[in-house]
Formats: sequence, structure tokens, C-alpha cells
Amino acid sequence: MNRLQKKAWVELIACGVMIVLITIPAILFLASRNARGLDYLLIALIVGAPTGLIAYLIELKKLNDYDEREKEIIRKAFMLSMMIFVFYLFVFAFTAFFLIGGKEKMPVVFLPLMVLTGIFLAQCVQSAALLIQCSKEEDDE
Amino acid sequence: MMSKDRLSNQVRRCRFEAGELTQQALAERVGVTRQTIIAIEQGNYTPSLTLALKIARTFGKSVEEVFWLEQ
Repeated sequence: MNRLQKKAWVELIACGVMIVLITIPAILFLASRNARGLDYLLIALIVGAPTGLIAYLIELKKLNDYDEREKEIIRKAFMLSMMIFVFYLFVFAFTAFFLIGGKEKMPVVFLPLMVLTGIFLAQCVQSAALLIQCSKEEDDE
Repeated sequence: MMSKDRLSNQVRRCRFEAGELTQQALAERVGVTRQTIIAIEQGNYTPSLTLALKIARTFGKSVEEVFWLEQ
């Protein structure tokens, strides 16, 4: 397993743990207790912001270790994941609109869930794209 | 109209001419991974001008001697 494949698996697992196992259950729990919007913001600032910043800095530092071909593979995977993310938000928003209609209401908790599930989907796509591109490489001495 | 030119190379041949230099050794000399050298040799990756110059300089050749356009 080369370092791009390791990166793909580590990021997928980290993203899954952070979003699917921690953030989404936390939001659903707070929403079930009818917490104020400010409570979510405080938790996001105390827990989410430092975690995100640390992950970003680690990733930024690692990026310098990759060579030009690896950076190109990462760039392609990232672009694909962003396209899927925007497409997902588009589909989610319009599906909700068409299903619920113009005058009806939906719980506001769906908004962060839409973004978080979109981020997780984008990460899955990015990791899959990295793994697929790596698997195409043939080992040849 | 887009050109369909393909970049060919003789990196593999140059390696053997340079005393059977391994892909790993060449990769270390030019500062990339062995997978990148493999991809270049197989024509699956077009290196940047900087990398092409580094590879050519490793073999003591000009870029045109190592890389050329296949039309």
C-alpha cells in the first residue's frame, strides 16, 4: 500500500468517525432536546474548530511531501469530490422542495445534516478516486 | 484544434545504459516516488519540465534526447 492509498483510507475513516459517529448523532441529540442554535455554535467552536484546524495544518504539511504526480492525483480526486458535493446539495435541496412544496415547512435540522452528509459523501468519492487511480498503476521494475 | 501528440521517452533505456540504475535510485535522485518513474516510463504520466530536466541531467543528456513528441 503506497502513501496515497494510506491517505485515502485514513481520511475516509477519520471523516467517517468525525461526521457519522460524532457530529451527526450530536446534532440529532441536541435537536431532540430542542437546544438553541447558539448551543450548536459553542460546541462547533470549542470542539469542531480546533479539530478542523489541526487536521488542516497536518494535511498542509503533508502536501509538501508528495511529488508532482501524486499532487496531480490528489487534485483530480478533490475536483471530482467537489463536483459531487455541489451536485448532491443541488439534488438534496430540489428534492426537498419538490417533495414538500413551496408553502410547507421542514425541520431546520435538515440543513446541517444536508451539508454534513454531503461532506461525508465527498470524502468517500475523494478516497475512492484516489484508490482507483492508484490501482491503475502497474508495478514494473 | 487540439493536438494528439504523445510524449515518448527512453528513460528505461537510459537507466540501463547508466549502469542498470534502478527505478528507486533514479526516483531518489530526482526527488519523486518510484511509482512516478514507473508511470513516466510507461507513458502514463507526462512529467513537468522541471522533472524532465532533472531526469535528463541525471543521465547527462539533453531533454530532447530523453523525451520526444510522437506524432
